[in-house]
Amino acid sequence: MKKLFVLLGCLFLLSGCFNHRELNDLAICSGLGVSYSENKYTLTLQVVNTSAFDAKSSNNNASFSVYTEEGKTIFEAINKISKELSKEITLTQLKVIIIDDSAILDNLGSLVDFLMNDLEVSLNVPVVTSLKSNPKDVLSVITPNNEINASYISSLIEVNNSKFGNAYPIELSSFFVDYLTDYNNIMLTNVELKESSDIEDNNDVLKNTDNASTLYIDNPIVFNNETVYKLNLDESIVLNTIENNINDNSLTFDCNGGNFSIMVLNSKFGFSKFENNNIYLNGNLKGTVNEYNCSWDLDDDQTLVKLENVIKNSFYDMIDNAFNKSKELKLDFLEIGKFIYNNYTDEYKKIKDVNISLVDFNIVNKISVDLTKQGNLRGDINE
Amino acid sequence: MNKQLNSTSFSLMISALNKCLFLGLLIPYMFKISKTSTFISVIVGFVISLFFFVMLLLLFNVNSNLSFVGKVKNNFSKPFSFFVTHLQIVIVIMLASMLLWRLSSFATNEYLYETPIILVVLLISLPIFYISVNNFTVLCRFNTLCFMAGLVIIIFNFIGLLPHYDVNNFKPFFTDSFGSILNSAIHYAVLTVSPVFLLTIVPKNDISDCKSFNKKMMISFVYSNIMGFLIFFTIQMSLHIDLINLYTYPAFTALKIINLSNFIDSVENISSILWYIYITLAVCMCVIYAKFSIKEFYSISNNRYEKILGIAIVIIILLIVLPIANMSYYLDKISIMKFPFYMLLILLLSYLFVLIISKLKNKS
Amino acid sequence: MNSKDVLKKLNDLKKTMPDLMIKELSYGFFSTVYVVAIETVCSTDRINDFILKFFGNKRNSAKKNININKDLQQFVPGINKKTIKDFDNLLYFLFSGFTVIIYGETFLAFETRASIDRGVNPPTSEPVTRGPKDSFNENYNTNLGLIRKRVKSTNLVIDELTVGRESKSKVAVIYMDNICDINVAKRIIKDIEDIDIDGIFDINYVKELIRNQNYTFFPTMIVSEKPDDTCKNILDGKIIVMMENSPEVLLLPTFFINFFQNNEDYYRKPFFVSFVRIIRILSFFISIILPALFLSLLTYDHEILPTSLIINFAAQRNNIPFPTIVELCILLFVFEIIYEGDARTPSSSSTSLSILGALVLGDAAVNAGLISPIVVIVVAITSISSLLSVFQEMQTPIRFWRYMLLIFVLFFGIVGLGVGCTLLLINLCTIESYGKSYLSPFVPFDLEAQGNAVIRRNLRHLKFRKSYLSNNHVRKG
Repeated sequence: MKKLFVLLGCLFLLSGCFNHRELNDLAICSGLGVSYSENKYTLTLQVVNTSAFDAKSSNNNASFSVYTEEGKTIFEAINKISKELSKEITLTQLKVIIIDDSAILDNLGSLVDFLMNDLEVSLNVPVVTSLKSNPKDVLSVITPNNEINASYISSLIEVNNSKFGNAYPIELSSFFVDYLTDYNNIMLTNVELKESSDIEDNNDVLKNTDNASTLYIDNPIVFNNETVYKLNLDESIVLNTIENNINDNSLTFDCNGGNFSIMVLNSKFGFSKFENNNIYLNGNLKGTVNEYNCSWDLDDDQTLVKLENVIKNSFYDMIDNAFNKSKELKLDFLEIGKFIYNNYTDEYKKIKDVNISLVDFNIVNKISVDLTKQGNLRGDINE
Repeated sequence: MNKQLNSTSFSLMISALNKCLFLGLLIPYMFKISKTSTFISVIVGFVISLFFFVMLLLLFNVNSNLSFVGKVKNNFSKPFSFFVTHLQIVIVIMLASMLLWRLSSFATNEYLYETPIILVVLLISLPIFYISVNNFTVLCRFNTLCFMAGLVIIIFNFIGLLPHYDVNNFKPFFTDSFGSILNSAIHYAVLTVSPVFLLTIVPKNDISDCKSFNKKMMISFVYSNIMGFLIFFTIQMSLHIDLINLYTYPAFTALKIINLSNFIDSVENISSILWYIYITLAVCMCVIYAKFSIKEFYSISNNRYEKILGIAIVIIILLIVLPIANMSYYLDKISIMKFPFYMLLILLLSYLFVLIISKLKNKS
Repeated sequence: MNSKDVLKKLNDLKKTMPDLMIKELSYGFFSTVYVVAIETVCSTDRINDFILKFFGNKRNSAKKNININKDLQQFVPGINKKTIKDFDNLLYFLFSGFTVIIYGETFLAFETRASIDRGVNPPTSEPVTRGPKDSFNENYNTNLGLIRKRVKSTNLVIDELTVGRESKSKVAVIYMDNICDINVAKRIIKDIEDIDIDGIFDINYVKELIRNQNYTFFPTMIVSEKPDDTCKNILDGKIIVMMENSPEVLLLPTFFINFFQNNEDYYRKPFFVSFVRIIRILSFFISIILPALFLSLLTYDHEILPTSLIINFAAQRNNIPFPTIVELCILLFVFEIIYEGDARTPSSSSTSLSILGALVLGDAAVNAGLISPIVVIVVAITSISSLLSVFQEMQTPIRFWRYMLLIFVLFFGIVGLGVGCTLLLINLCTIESYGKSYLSPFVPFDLEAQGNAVIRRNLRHLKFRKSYLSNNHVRKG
């Protein structure tokens, strides 16, 4: 019995707490940005400044600080950043990862390898890209109520996704899957910096009231080998529709003499068949009318049917335009390759590359729309 | 071992023994071989393992007042019983070492990556030391407590991963031939049913209500396989197959995705206690099996010698594990599956052989 | 035994025992009756009023035929008459407050015990809000009477034993022989008979001396001061050990769940009682695990906490000079000091002590920048949870395991917490109380007994006795 206690004592005293890290010795990283040029990686880390959250002290410091370094590999860049930090870097609380398009087109493998091997990074982190600006600028923006920039970006994506239908949120796990599989092209959310020459000093943002936000969500971006393409609004709506991601979103359509907008209650779209180079797309949309500015009388029974037809035709046009564009660019951004691989594996093996073979395909649409009610008003206020 | 066991708590031991080899061994192997049809091979494997389980129930009925070693000594000649008993003890100790090594590598990789692995092995072996000086009754009681915890954790994991359900992860169906499904099904059957045979160390007459014994064992076995199927299904529904094949511990990686209302995030550290429970219970069962086999074979009756024997067995296991603990490059190779598969197949065949010969002898 | 020898020995004893009284009475012709008693333990009023008056009346009556033996055997007032076998027996009765009457070869003892006890008072160690407010006291007969008047059954068996060479204390083992497990009762009686000691003064001595060899800090025996609780347990199948001069009784065999149950649970609604029992058990585990879990979340596994919480904690701990473990240890130590001080001081000064404690911990330490507020909250919740245990004996395992788990977590993080909890559970599983598992009815699992373990069902549904206590599942409801 005594010997057991001696063994226990040795076990504890010799262990030395190797993994022990005090909370104040950690540099909590909330954002990571990567870009690649001239055989060098530029890494940007956004570190939380915990003294700004101290309730007792009333200083007005920014809630984060940004560090940028270059290196031949990502680890070398991190090592250089560590020279400037007095604390140990931890990526457990990462809220956003920004990858520049330069890093995606060249040498994405080592970045993915780095992210996969890191045990602490959560698999739910949103991955974004920014076409017009570099990661450092995006990560350095101070937000209005002094919250952490990365939390702001991830909330932006969430709200936009649930309300407006042009964001295409990608999490880290989906990003890995896109990279590993050859039937999918890499598609990322787009976060852009609003260019404004009034802002010279970032610190004035907190005192300025009219230029409240400097970051905004733009349409998603598709990458394939050497091509980078930013979708336009209609194409991103089509993409989100096929992915069944437009519930609770508002869509606007033209009608004669005006426009109207609906809120989508429930939508179910999907590719159903693939034969003789024809892809069949079936869909069903249920919605309510939100805002109405057309010349038809809303009290009439036939108006709803007319509105449904308008929506149906708009969708047909949007889908055809999007498909033609993808054929023209030889870029599959409607996830047709995934559908063929999952459901028609034998045929997929015959096709070498979906992006190129898109030219031979045709889309056959069959969409039905149900407008269930007219919204909050009983009648037409324009009468 | 007096009549303190009842058949409910005895049959609940099946749950841990069934799933001890999942982590890091069976799950990556099955996903590699049968890709998206894994959940079908689980069902096929379950049907195959039912056949072996019925053999186990028959084995309990042969000479029901004796443990397995007693049955062997009763029905076979001395050199043969010596050979069979010691072969089983060696296999069981190897199984325990492999499980302990597996768990410590897992703990070192995912939790304490800077601590030397030797310390983690010693830490994890502390409960095993404690149980090795006690008897099977204590293990059974501990297992009943852990069973309830395991049930809660499996259901919590399933509910947490339900929002991330993606049908596309199951497609394309039937990419591989039926041969690969059969291959992984046989592996599943052997690796899940062989550890359950270790329960034969307890004579059936020591269990207080023998009449409902068969029924309760069958219910427990079916339930345990349903939970195993749920684990495979949960992993497959939340992660894409290419991602599963890339990680060493897909069961752990799948739990990283749980994100309930942005508050319960990254709870994979706590949910993985399930595997710790199962593997610790399995190693303790192996130690108790070895201890009571030696005790019955050599007819040791002194209580103090029993305790020393238990500690000696755990020290032997540690002596096997500690030198190879640093060899983590074996973890990723799929060929690592050959060793436990053949080992457990030999164990299973030895039990079946004894059963068949004993039945033939009892008939004549 | 000859009366002359006995009287000679008693006269010798008078030198060292000044309270020994020997009265010589002449009764009849040529016969002397001796009345012997010890003044300090006898009620002299009773001796005067009944025994001496009897002899006086007999003397004055003008009967010629006096059969002294018959008078002594049948007509001396006093229903509790005992026959004495030898000199040691005589001394035993003298010390127990009996009056001994010696005539020739006849030695009789009559009970004239003085009541030097405090009467039936409300219980002091367990607060009572509902139900009967009487409790046991130091008088053996009173205690037995309080049980008898609640269990009016002939199946109530009382086995009396004498323990202690010099103290010769009376210890009784009480059980219902048609309900309880007779083997357990026999084992307890044998254990008590095997006690070889000079003297015992309280039931806690007996508790210590018959304790099983369980290597654990958890309490395996429970004492009770309330007769209604005791009688409920007798009817469930438990065995009571009672001792004279001790206001508590021992209830055996004891299980883990008994430390979270109270007899007042039967005087309230089932739903409320189930809720309170669940809170008691949860607070028990919280007070053991919470400091260790907090330490591991802050030092080893930061990813489990959400980001806003981690930034909050980091901001609070910005200028604290100590690492987390040192803060925790300091605060736990200070709380132990306050707790012990509160228990030992008389109630008049305890309020100022708690005010001092609150001031020291709450405001001053945080403002001085020595300790972060979150650690104060964690330690306060831990200490309050540990105070919720109904029985004092549970403090020992709570304290031991709390510090053990802290040590495990300090070196190994959450893996250490897992291993520590495993060791705690295995320790609970190894304990056996007279051959039955300590964790009954959870392990081995008994579905019917769950109706009265944590959750309490309506009394109408509790029809059968607990199967782990009694073989006799006869309907009791």
